[in-house]
Amino acid sequence: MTEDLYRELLAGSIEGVYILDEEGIILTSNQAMAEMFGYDRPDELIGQSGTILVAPTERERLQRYYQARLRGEHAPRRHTMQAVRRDGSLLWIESLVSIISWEAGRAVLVTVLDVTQRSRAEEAERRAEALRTVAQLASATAHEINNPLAVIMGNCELLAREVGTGSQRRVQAMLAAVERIRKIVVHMSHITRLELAYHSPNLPLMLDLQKSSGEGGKGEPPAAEPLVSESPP
Amino acid sequence: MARERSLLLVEDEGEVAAFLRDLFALDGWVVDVVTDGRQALAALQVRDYRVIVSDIVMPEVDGAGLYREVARWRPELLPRFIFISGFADTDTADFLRQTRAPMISKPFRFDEIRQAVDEVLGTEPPPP
Repeated sequence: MTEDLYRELLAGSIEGVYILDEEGIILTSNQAMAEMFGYDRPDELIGQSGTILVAPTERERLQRYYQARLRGEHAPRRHTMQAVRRDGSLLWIESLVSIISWEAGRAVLVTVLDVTQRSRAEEAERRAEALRTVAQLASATAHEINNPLAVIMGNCELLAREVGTGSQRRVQAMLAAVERIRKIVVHMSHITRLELAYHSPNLPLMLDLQKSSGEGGKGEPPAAEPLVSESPP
Repeated sequence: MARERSLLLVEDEGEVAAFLRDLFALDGWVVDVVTDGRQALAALQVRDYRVIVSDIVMPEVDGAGLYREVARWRPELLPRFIFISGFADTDTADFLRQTRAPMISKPFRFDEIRQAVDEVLGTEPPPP
């Protein structure tokens, strides 16, 4: 295929397309590409390094792929990554890469789709799914714990009446501890969002139960009201 | 006429029923224990309890089923109900909230139950 034919195909494409030389410099581009990345005209990209399109966090990975590809080694042809517009804002793109013949040598043809909306929706869905799983686990755990906890609490109260004053302190300490567990369980059964707690770099990541539960840290379930859902959807 | 300190405890968890029975007994209550709503309905036909303390989630007839059946058959007993629940968010708990029957979540301090019992006793005149 001739260079002119490539240029014509690019101009007519509704997908973003650009061609890089072996040094990674943009040789040509199209209107869809310019619009996606916030440039007025495609020729504003010509002569620039392809890395200006790539988010800084992705540049090393892309460079590695690029070198491998030109050496004829395996590199993924299709990938999803973060890219950067002219104004510095980020977008998610899916790109498909091919090696083509260009003038006397080779070049890299890249087709680009803006998948920002799709990625956002997927990310939101992943978060919602994680929340559902955690909330289900938490309310199942809370449910299972409530009965044995009631048994401990009730028997502590019976013990408190049976033992002498010397042992009262111990029974009261147990009751206070059970009360603390009860509050934790109330929070667990009302998780409506996932908020992490940052304690110390040596501890694993943990949910902040107070911030994650719909109670907002008040420690008690809302007053009983007829037919009012306790966890907003 | 209701026996003065007679109480029906409807609870399928044996350990929960055991400590509640003992705590009520210490307060001077004569306690009968049954393990589901069906048995509770049978017991209510035999005796006239001043207070009925019932779990919500139970096999066979659950707390809501028991309440509905009593509403149909002997509605004058409804103000004597106190529910205890191990699970705040169930359809059946929603139904019972709607009825405004006293509801106590597990685990609880016995004082919470006592207070509910006092409220129940306050809603109807004591027997002569």
